[in-house]
Formats: sequence, structure tokens, C-alpha cells
Amino acid sequence: MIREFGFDDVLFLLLAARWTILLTLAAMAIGGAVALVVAILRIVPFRPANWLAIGYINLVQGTPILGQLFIFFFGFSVFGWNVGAWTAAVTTFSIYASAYLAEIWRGGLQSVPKTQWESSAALGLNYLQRLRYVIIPQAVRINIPPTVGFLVQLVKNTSLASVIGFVELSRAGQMLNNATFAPMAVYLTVAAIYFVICFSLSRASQRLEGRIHVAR
Amino acid sequence: MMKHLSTIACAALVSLAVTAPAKADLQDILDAGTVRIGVPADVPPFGFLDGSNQQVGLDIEVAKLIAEALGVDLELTTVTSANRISYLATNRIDLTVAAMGATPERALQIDFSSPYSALSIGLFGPEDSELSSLADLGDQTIGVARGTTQDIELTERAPDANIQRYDDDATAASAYLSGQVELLATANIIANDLSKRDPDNALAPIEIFRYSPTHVGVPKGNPDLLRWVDTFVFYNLNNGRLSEMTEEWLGQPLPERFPSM
Repeated sequence: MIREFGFDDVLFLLLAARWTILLTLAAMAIGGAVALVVAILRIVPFRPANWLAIGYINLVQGTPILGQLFIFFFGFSVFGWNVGAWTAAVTTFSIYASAYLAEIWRGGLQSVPKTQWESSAALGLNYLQRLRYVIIPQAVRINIPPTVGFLVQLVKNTSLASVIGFVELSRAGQMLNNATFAPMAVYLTVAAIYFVICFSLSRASQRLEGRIHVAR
Repeated sequence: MMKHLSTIACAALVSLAVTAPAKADLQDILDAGTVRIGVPADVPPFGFLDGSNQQVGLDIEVAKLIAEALGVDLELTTVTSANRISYLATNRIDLTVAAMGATPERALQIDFSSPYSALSIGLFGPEDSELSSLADLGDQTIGVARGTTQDIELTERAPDANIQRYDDDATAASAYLSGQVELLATANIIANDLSKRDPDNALAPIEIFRYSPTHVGVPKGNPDLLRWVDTFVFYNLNNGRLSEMTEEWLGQPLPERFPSM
């Protein structure tokens, strides 16, 4: 019954890693779009919008991802609406990413010196134009390292999706470990694949930082 | 922590499920033409990945036999020990065949059929161990897969023992083989396989707890389905089919007088 860990198993892990990457990308795209809106609502000079954004961020940051996964996956099927593992995972991680990215980006937006707001106002730009043409371009560069740092965390956190039966890299590793009883071989391979994904992200981030230099 | 959270989430959802719409009883499965069965992928030899990474094992074979007997298509879903009860309670699957032992606590949330197979569970240690039973255990550490029948049994028999709980059998076995724990509570078949693979570190039984039957899980409120599964199990126990399958995957046939519910 117990078998050797072989080349086919490495392939199996690589195929499972696709799901880790796809889930991260989907969460990043959807979560990023939501985060941009939340980050702006968080800083606009209109109190109720700020409160709404703060409430949303606190709610998401204050509840565990595992709980959110269970609610999206099992919670809705209680009412007869069956959500697939992929849909539940993408929804959960998009919401998770949106709250954290919103806070990261809010920090970036607020770290642009106040004088930039004032001088762009003096040029006759309205609020949205100031954000669009002056503040956001400068905030983007500041935000690259923390955003990529969060993305690297997100890659690794997607392993939590295994609780709802989503087979990504970690879950595939666990399944193989139970077939081969060879944890060193299995988990070293899993760790190496995570490293390649995360290291590539960090490298890409450094190159991107070098290219974007609007403030200089 | 993960299992803890999932237990809480599960309990909360099960209480919600009381108001849920009617579940798929036997007729609904026949109407749908598909039976959805939850099987494990990380519990050898009940459900695991073979050399070409296909899901195989005793539970997968039993699931196929069930679909065949119902005359419907089979839709397999992989479940884990943490989420299998939630899957049943929220009507995502019609049955579990997932190496599950029946306990009064679990039976508050789902129904169990008569047992379709059984595995022998016990405490194992190095061949030169001087221990002969749990009674003279002392302060030796024991590794076990969390929440399994052997965990429940071990905790009952040796409440003061130094027990280290791991996510699954493979991790508990690794903890034993790497010297993190001194003894291993697991299934007989796993101890035998580990010994075969590494004869220098062969595992010898110290105390066999009991023969632990495995049951098909059925969502509550499906009397026809439960009755059908019981009939299925009864029939295939009597014609020797389940015993043959158990021998093929677990290495020994079922005993003559196998218990029934």
C-alpha cells in the first residue's frame, strides 16, 4: 500500500501549484479592484464613507479566513444554494485581499505629502483629478513593496482553502504524504515550489520598483 | 486549531440545517440518476493516491459498489476528517464512505449505517520495547492522528498519558520514526506496512485496543436511504463481498461474527 515518492508525484504537485497560482491571481485581481474603492472611500473628506470603509476593513480583518471559508462554502448551502469550492475560495480570498490591500494602499495614499494635494488644487484640479493624476501615481511606487509582501503572504495563505476540499499545493502535498509516508521528500518539494513562486514575485517587484519613478 | 474551528463551524451550521429544505432521500437520488459519495484521499488504505495519483482504496470500491447496486452514476467527492460531517449536514453529498467510526457524539449530527468493514487499532512501539500494556506506560509519549477512533480510544484508556496529536496518520508515523514520540497509536495495517518498508525500525504491537468498525454516514432525515444502505451492507456481508474487499485492502478478512446495527 505505501509506495515510493517518484517523479510523477513531483508532476502532481506542480499541477496542483497551478491552483495555488490561479487562486492568488483571481483574489488579487478582484480583491485589488475592491480595495482601490475601499481605500479611496477611506480617505475621501466625507465621514460616512470613511466609516463604511473602516467598518468593512475591521469586519474582514477581525474574522479568521477559515471561518469565512466555512461560511461561504457551507453556510450558503444551508439555504439550498450550493457554492463550489473554487467559487467559495475565490470569494473568500478576494474579500480577504481587499481589506488588507485597502489598508496598505490607504497608507500609501496618505503618505503622499499634503503639499501635493494643495499644489494640485492650486492648479485648478478637482478632487478626482488630483487623485488620478497626482496622488495615485506617487502612491503606487510607495505601495509596491508592501503590496508584493502581502501577495507573498496570500500565496501561502491559499493553503487554507484545503479545508473546503480545494486541492492546491499544500493539500496535494498532504495527500501524497499519506500515500508515500515520505514527509521529507513531499514537503521539501512543496516548499521548493512555494519558494519559486514567492521568490519570482519578489524579484518582479524589485524590477517594477526600478521602472516606476514618477516622483523622481 | 483548524479542526477545532471546523467543529464549531460545523456545529453552528448543523443547527442552522434544521430549517433547511428537504434533503435527498432515496427517491431523490434515483430521480437524479447520480449518487454523490464523499470518500477520503488521505486515509490509507481506505482512500489514497496510487502510483499514477488516482484515488483508490477500500472506500472508493465500496462507493462504486453502492452506485452499482442503486443503478445510478457515481459522483465522488473528496472529504477530510474535518469536513465530512459538514458535507453531509449541508446536503453537498448523499453519503460518506470515509473510514468513519460511529460515536454517540457524531450520531447527534448524522446517521450511521451498519458497519461495512473494520480495522484493528492499537498501540505500537519498537520491537525491543519493554512495555506490554498501557498500564505500565509511565511518561512515554504517544503519537496519534487527531480525532480518529484510535485517538478517542487511547484518550479513554490512558487519560493521563502524554499524547501528541497530529493531523493524520502519515504525520503521526513520521513523528514516531523521527523520534519525536516514543510510541504510535494507529491502525494495524499501517503499522504492518511501515514495518515491511523499514524492517530495521519494525513496529511491534504493545496493546491492541479493539476492532474498530467503519460505517457509511447518512444525513439525518433520510429514513429510506438509511434503510437501503443497511440492506446493502447486510446483503454484501452475507455474500462475503465486503469481507473479500476488506481482505484485499486491509490484509485480513472480516471476522465470522461481524457486528451489525
